[in-house]
Amino acid sequence: MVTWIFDNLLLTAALACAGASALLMLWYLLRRPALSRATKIVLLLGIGVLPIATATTGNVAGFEATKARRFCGSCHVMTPYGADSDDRHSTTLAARHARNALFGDANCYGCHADYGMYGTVITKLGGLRHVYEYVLHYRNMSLEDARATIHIRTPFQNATCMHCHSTQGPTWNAVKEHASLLDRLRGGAVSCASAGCHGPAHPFSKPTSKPTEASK
Amino acid sequence: MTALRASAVLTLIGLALMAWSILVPTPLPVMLAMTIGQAIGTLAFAIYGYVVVRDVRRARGTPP
Repeated sequence: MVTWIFDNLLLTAALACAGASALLMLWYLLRRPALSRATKIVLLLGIGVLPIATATTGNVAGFEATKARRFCGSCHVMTPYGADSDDRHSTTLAARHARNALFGDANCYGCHADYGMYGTVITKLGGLRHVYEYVLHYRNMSLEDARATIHIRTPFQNATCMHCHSTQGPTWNAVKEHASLLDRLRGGAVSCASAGCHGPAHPFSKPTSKPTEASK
Repeated sequence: MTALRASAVLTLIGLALMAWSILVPTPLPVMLAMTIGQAIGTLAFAIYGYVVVRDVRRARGTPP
């Protein structure tokens, strides 16, 4: 973990600012100097400038951390999903994307993010809902029970796949199943992640409440 | 001076929450740092600002 922190410039900067601020605060609390102009400047650094720098860099680093697979897998009910992505021999859609250098450690976020105009905000709000669900319903649930009940809230959108797989490339269109289903794939009538095509995405995937044409 | 000491203690608490989220980037520390940690830091800075403004007004002879 230490190597990971110091490899990341933002995290190093955030910790350095926090450490410097903490030292100034401890100096003020222990030495109790008179409130001179110099003391005010030291306090401005310790209470204002350095904590704001810590919060700013910490926020950016925090938002980046929420994209990592280890973050998603830190809730126990997600560990089987993370383990499948880590499995080099797994052939699920999630695991194959995890082995893709463009996704790597951020494969959960890469496929479950919203790529619309307000996509980042919508994705983060969805993440907050996950925390709410976890704390209220899944925190004390056994892994077996959780695996039986956890399901994707809405059908997986083909638009997410099409963010990378544009459906316009010659290699993609050379696949006869793609060419024959082109309009229905673009319209979302047939899911890329359905069982007959590239799915299921995870070994424990369950049908959604709104079945697509492919799963009917 | 008491207000500034309280501000310094609040700053240390806020910093601890922010540093925790950096060292352990899991949902609970990250959410605590981005909400309570930053609220505590903002409160500490507001107390500092209040004390400095009050001090400047006193030095100029205007009532606080």
